[in-house]
Amino acid sequence: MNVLNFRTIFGAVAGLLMAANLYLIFAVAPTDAAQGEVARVLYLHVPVAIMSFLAFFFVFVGSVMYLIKRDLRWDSLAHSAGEVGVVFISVALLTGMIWARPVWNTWWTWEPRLTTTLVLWLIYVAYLMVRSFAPNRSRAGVYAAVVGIIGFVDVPIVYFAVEWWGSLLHPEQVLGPLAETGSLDRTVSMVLLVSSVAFLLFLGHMVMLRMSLRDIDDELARIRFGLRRMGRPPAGEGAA
Amino acid sequence: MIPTILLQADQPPANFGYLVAAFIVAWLFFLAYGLYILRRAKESQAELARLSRAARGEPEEPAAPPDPAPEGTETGVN
Repeated sequence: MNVLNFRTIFGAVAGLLMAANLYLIFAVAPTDAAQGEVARVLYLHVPVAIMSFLAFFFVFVGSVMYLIKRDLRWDSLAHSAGEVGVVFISVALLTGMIWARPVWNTWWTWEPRLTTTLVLWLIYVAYLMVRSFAPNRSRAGVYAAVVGIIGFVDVPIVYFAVEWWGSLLHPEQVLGPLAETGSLDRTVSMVLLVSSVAFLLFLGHMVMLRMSLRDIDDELARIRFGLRRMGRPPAGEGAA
Repeated sequence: MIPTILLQADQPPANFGYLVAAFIVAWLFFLAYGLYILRRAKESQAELARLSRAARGEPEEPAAPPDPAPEGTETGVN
């Protein structure tokens, strides 16, 4: 099975699971007594936020491995996961704001979880900007790897923010090591689990898609470099 | 803490619009990003084919569409 076929099948499975997930969210998950229908945003907001953390973990791993091995495949993983992670954390921030408006009566407040999440978003936007502004690909990889490693420190800070600094607004963790066992209704837990798996596959598919684009761009850079060395710069470029 | 007292029905969806808005915003964001990646992949594939021909010394096809990114910027973000 070649990579394209694997990615296609992976994407199809992710799509099917996502469709089933939407059915569970809107037709099976119970309506929250206190918050009403808007509480169903939980099944989108929480998994997307957790998957952005996972994406940033991939950035961390890819960055460390790139600095050790200087293999562009690790840089490709870090780069792709960073870009997809920024999309996911942006969606988590936006859906959180939309959820907050009817429940907290505000779009935004400077409480610990929101503030640290915004800082996380800024760190990884900066990560992508460092890549854009670096003078060449190898330096872009190194500079971005440093930002990717240091920036990952904010991920556990976001997760533990409510535990460390307290919050009258943000709920305690519903997933991960700090989540209380049995704190959620059984159906809610089941739908949340399915949603998390669906978004995990979706994240994987997006990262693979982005990595394939990055592979093409790396190949393009190699050919351009070769043409310039042969004194035949690609059309539109001057002689080196 | 997520409230564990749940109702199955009879709750008027007073904030249903916010729920719909959250899902629409999220999926529009994902869709826009997915389309951006696919469009970039298509452009890069075409450029790869063109440069591969050039590298083999074959004549380039005329009237290739201009690349929106400035040529020669060999940065990591593409």
